[in-house]
Amino acid sequence: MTRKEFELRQAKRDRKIAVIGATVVFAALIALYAVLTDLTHALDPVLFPGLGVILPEMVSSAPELFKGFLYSMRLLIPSLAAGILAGVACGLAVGMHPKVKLVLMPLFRALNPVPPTMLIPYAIAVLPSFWLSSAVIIFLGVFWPVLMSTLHGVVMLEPRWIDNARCLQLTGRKLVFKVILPGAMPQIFAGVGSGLIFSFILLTVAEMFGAKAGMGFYVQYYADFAEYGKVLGGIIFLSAVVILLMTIFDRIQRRVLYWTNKR
Amino acid sequence: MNETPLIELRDLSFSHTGEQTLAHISLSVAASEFIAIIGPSGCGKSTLLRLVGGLLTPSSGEVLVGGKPVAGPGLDRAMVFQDYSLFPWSNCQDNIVLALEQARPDLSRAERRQIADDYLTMVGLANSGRKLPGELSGGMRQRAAIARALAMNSPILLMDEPFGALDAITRARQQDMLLEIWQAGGSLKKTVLFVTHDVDEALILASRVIVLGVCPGHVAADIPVDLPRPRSRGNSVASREFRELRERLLQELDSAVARQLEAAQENQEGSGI
Repeated sequence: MTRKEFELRQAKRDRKIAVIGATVVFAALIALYAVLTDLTHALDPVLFPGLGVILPEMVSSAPELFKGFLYSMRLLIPSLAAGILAGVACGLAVGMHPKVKLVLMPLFRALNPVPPTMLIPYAIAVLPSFWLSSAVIIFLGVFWPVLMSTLHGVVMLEPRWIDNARCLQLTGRKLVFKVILPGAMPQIFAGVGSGLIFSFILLTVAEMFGAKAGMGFYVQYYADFAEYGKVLGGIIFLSAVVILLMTIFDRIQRRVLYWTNKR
Repeated sequence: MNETPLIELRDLSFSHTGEQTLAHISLSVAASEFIAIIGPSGCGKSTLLRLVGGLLTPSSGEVLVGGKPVAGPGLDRAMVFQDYSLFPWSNCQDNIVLALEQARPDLSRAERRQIADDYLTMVGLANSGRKLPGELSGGMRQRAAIARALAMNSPILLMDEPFGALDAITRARQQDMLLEIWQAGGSLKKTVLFVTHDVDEALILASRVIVLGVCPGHVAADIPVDLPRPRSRGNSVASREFRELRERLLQELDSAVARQLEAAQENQEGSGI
């Protein structure tokens, strides 16, 4: 058995443990909920309806949930993409020019921790539409962590990579795309990861308070009518979407950063 | 040497954060010479190589390559570092192709791939082009780095302890390979500056050994190695000349280290008062 085969087998076994383990834990939690609601009625039946209520609600409102999903994605994806692109671009541009960085860094340090939610009143007042103001808030929530992590990634570039690039006389676009960007990628991904989580929070906050559709709107709307079966159904659906997106993110990350665990 | 030297160091000194690493180094290297630079650790041999490579700027004096002063790194000088000449995020072939895009922009994409494969085959890595550097052993990684440096077709090869991190057996095999490739160059042999701290390695490979002394680094000895070529490890190590040269080199290094210790003691006494 070669080392590679051994590693593959090990990875397969680990994956099996993870899948089975997670399934068991999920099943146990669902069973516990069923016991507390349907079986013993220990929880308030209005706020915590049983599975017998939630599941049929989810099935019957599947088209509505799906529409909400599409609406949310139309807000999330462009804002997220713009935040990542702008964060990486600004991070690289500033990080590669030490003097510019010296000047701007105090500003970044001051603005970075301001929670984007604080800007919601202004975004709504200044920008013409709900979509635009929410998009700007999500954009900011993603932009800052990505910017800071990209800056960090450029600082953390190993001097030997720079030596190597200088020996090859790499400049301009080639230097950026063949050396600096890939070298800073581990840090950039860390920033995108936190930006992603932040974007879900901001998305639902925005939708719960201003939108006419979307997954957050769905939850808030039925909460107003005290239809908690639908509320919980919406929350479960939202969680599933978040898990799906995080899985896609993990896959991409593992693929792009494949080289980091081969060193 | 009546023709102009390919590499010339003129009264070269280098200081870093107030401490002088190299002082008044003058050296001429003719085309197709294989120079080993040897010395105790801290003598500034890597610094010397980086100065020739243009990665560092001398505090005084100058480095001339082909009669022109060196202002920075250039594609006429391919460098091989101890363990990091390749970018870890691209595979060996892509690493070489990137170097070729810079060094030989006249070639087509397909030609670059072909040349990368040819050189990988030459160093015995025909099937590893698609592998990441991190997926190879240390010895294979250095082979790939050498393949990259050779593919660039630079007349000058600067090698900074390329086999320093390898185990003895792998190291011996890499030396044989390098020797074979370099000797096969015929009249177009590359000019090599090879930094090492291994006396045997220096003698097996080089046509001239420069011994650097310490505090600050200076040329302590310049010893021609007239062992017959083509050489191989086997026929070199066994010969009487080899053993004599080895003795001489070891003595030079010994006295350099002794001077380093003396200097260190003096410094200590000085600061003690």
